[in-house]
Amino acid sequence: MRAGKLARSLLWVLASLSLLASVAVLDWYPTLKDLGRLRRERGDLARRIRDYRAAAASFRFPDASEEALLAACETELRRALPVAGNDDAWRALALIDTQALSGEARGPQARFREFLTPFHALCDPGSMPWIGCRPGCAAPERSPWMGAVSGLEPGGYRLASRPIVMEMTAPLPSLLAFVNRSSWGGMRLEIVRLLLEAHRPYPRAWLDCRSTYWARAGSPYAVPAGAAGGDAGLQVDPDSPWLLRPVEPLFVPIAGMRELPPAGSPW
Amino acid sequence: MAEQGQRPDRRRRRWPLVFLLALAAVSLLLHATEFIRRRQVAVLARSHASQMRERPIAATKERRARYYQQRFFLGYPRAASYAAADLARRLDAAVHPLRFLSIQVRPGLHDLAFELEVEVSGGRPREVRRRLDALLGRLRLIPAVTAADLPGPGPAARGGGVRVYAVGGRAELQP
Repeated sequence: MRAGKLARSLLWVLASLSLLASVAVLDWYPTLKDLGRLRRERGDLARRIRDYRAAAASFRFPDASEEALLAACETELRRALPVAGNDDAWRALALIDTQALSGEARGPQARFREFLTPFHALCDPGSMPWIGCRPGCAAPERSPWMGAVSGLEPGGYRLASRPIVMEMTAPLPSLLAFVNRSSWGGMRLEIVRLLLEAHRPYPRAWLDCRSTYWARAGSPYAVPAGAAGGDAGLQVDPDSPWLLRPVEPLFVPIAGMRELPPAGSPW
Repeated sequence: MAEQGQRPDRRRRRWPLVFLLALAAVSLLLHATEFIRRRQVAVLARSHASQMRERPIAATKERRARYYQQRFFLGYPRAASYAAADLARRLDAAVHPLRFLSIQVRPGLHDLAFELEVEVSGGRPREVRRRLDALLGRLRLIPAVTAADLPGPGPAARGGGVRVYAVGGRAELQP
């Protein structure tokens, strides 16, 4: 009798302990884990809110004058790039610029030539072999400007990049003036490579330039999205203190048209 | 006496119920706490999101960074063409009395790489070396030139008593 009672009691205790263990493992333990995670999340969020509030208190957000500066810069950039709806339009614009530069070829044996496509240079018997064999350093995917101009494209147009090669044979001061003024025209040509060769009677200059312009979407010269160019694009340090204050135009002055010092100048 | 015998029985029958109620109470407490904590986290997350929306620090910094990039882009072509022409002019002046065969300048975004091929004729090796050292000294004195050196000890080409040396270097591109 007593042994039976003892056995029944023992059974009840074991059953209770099993039930307690099951509830603890299946319900209490996961819930306690979630509670810990939520406590950490709550602490994280509270800290982030506190930090953000402190950062925003010392940050100078744009006012009306800074907004005007930002908008003016975007407008100027949109207008600065020529718009070429097709290949003929681009050629016409490029010829205007290059013909203006050809006036620099002064002297009885001076010469000027432009190559609006590298293939043309390959076909020309007078062209240097390195012009045609050189990898496309002015190719669209090597344009470093995508990050700066993305979002500013006129409707239906995209940023495009195309090479122009020019060759001039002239006295050295004329050659250097030609090199300097190559960027002054409407095409805003950027020098990618300059080669000056000693020749008789005059030295010869080869200019490999990049022409950046707005082209219709679908142009083979469109700069691909995400292109950063050979120099990994323009990097701006996100932690720079210059970004915490209103923009300062003098920090990045825009170069104007400057003539070189005269020949023989020590400067 | 019979009633006293029944009370221990009733107590024994009650304790499983009490035990189950205790388990349920603990579970309820834990789940209620979890529910409250989830609501608190959701409120904080919404508050943080609206804070970032109303005072967008990251977006403002990006707009300012793009402003500086755009100004750099607007001024780059003229700065690069002037720097390339000016560097070529200075290299030509520095090469004298030697003769240059070619000057190659490749503008980058922030500096220019140059390669200068010069012709050194006649003279013993020691004299040639002295002339080259003098040339390197003159090149390094050019303002904005940050490096100028011979890539190797020997000439790049040789023939007819003339040696051609290639000097490579870098110069700053100033806006």
